[in-house]
Amino acid sequence: MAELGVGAGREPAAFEFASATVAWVAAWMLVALLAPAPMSADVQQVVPVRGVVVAEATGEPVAGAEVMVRGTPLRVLTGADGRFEVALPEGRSYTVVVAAAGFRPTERNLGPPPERRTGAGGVPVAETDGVLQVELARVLVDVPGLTVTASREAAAPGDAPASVAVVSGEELRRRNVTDLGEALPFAQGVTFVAGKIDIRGAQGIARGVGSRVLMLLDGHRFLTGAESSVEFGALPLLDVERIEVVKGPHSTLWGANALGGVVNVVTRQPSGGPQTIVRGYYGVFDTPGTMDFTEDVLSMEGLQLQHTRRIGRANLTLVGGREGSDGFRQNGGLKRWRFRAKAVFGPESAKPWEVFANWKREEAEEFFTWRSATRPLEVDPTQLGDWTRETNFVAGMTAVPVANSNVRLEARPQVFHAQSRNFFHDNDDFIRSTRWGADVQLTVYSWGAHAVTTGAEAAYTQVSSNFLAPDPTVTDLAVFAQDEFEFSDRLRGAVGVRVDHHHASVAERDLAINPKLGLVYRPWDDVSFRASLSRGYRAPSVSEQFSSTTVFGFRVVPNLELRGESAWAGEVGATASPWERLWFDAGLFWSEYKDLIEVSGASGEVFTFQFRNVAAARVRGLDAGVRVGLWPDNLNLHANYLLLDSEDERTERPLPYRSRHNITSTVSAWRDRIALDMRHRSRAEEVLVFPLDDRGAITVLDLRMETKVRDVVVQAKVGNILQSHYVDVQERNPGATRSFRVTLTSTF
Amino acid sequence: MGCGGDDPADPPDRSPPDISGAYSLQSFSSVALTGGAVLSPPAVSGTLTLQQSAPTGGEAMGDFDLDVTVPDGAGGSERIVDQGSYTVRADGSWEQRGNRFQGTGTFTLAGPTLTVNVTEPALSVSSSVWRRQ
Repeated sequence: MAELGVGAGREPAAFEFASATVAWVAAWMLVALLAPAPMSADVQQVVPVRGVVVAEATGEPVAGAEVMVRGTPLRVLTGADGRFEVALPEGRSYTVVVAAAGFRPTERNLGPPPERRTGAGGVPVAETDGVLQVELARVLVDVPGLTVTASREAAAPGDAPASVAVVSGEELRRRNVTDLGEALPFAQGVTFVAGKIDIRGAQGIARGVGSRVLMLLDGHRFLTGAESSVEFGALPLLDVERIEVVKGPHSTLWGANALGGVVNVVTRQPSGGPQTIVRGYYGVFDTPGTMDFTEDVLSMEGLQLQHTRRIGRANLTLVGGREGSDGFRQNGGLKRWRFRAKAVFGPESAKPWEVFANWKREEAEEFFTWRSATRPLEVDPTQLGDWTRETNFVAGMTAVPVANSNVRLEARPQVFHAQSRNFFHDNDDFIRSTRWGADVQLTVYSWGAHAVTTGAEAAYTQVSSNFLAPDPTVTDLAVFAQDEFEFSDRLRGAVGVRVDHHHASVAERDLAINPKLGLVYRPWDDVSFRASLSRGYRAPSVSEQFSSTTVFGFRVVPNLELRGESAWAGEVGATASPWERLWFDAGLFWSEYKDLIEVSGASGEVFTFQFRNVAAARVRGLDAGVRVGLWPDNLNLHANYLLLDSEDERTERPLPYRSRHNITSTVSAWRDRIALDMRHRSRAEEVLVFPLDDRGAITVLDLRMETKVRDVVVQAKVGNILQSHYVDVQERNPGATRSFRVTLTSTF
Repeated sequence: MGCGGDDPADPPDRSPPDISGAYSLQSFSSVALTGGAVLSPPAVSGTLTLQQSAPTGGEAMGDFDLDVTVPDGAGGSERIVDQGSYTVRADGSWEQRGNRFQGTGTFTLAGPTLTVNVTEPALSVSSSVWRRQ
């Protein structure tokens, strides 16, 4: 089940096999797509079921709540009045799952027709004049609600055979962050190294190597076309509903880059009347006297404006903003402009259509390594003034032309343009890439207790640069299928496979077959056990395959035979919320990585480097999280622990840049008016370049405070309150100094 | 590869040899940089200057200056300059803490010939032979 490197013209048999496999799977997909759905909704009597979602404590309607009908692909949002409507075939029982930020997910049974009604609380589907009222209880601790990433369909908490961490939009707001990269380290199983997101130790640092975590924005791939890197600055912040972090390989559903996991940023579906949010912040960095390098005050500031309104059947969101920072270190300045527009047509229907466009420009000074250990906040004088300009434009659409109780069809076309140019003292490299892609997904729920999801994806990427030889084009094709089935009310399973074909012009073809198997057992409503085995894959990025440049005086040459890297991973875990004040999740995981891509000496050449498939590694560990309402509303604890036991199979030593123990915690009090965040990671046992430099454990404390003055939310944050001085995992890169920031947010 | 002495029965607290001096590069090989091939002048050339302090507790520290010229892989050459400190121990172990390059390994001094084998980190694994000028 490995990917097959297919040399064009050199291995005709392998090529034929690859082509035949793709053709076979494509044909199979075609059959799946054309197969008539038995007993589709069209031949059954369909009745509308209307409901209203209200807050249990106040009776106020809950707008934007997600309503999912279990066993069907139907999911809708409540409107501003808390009301929703779904069309269901009569004569059957249904379970409705309702989830909303800040509330505990709730299930309600829709009973059979009156003559067969047996259970208390059942609502007869045939009664169209009745309105199902769902009361949501406010959560005492933040718990995950519905998620959409692990199964490519909505899944109730504990239903997906995968480990999923969720950061809610409300948590993002409370954390008072300037971009998502600031909040994600507090997600269970996530760490950051040198600005790169890492899930369960998959990433580490390898300069120039693409992301082993797939970033999605509302299900759209959000990686640059040439480097396969995550652009955190281009992701939205104000209108984020939640961030879903699916841990472990998920290439079966999401394809390349989903090697360590998938992060899906799900944006809010606006509802209600016109709303404007103005958010501004100002802060300063507090440089320790012994490290001072300037007499100027190092400051940061930002202003963002978001306006939402309904125009006809569409909800429109517009976001714009500018941020600037001197940075906490020399040559650490940043200027960023962001604009975003999103329109949702029919937001409360089961078939919404959504279009969006994001634009970002960022001018960032570069800090490679410090000048010396005694002057850690300064750069080598020759590098002063080096900076980079990056511009990204992403536009996409999510269309749901068909959605009923049996079938859901979804299509996602997208374009991602990225360009970057260095303005260095010795380098003016540039790269531009445009990726055109689309995926189509069909889910059929009509085969007994099965939910079969099939789909196909295609993408074409054009790249131009002064350091690639030649300028390549890349074609990616994929088909996938997954069956989620119920053995019983308590036991669910999933089996799936995806075939990815990756071909960069003049380079090797790559064919990857990524299966998965999963089981979920829910002995009680609030407890679920999961087990999974899956394979992940990352195609080589254009930068890795085609770079032809000189770095620090050494030549880097293309490697047209570079193949993708892969991993087999397994997990057993459990999620439980046995008490309304307690939620916990734990998973034991094991991953075997193969053909990992690293910079290495070019075979047979002197003082020449290239990206090569050189490493194999094993990572196993424990990933646990707990949320406790110690004294509800007055004292809450949110803590995560990640144990990483890794081994590079060549050296039999731990993988570089991983910490064995990783802990994050947040203690919040008085309805989050005050909170203390802690990040700790033990000393990285291995680093690649400067192993003799001093390095140690990292512990950073942040203090947050929040209050409301009239209609303005005032937040204050002290970052690194104890002014810890540390190397931020990557050698000769200092951690951020203490900072003070005040943020004002007004909503009207 | 213990190389600091000839007699394994020597007491452990003896001192490492004084390797101070100016050396010229005789050969260089590296899995990562030369594909394992041994390069000799004129393909590579360079000097290494070591200034060593008096030993204490079985080890001695010093400063080094490195200046070598290597092929750049494109038919030209690249000059590499590095400075920093080094530590040698009586058991033959070597540590170099340069501004650009760090590594640990072993060394031997046989007459005027100094051999340094860097075994960690993986990117820097190499063997170089120097001759005292």
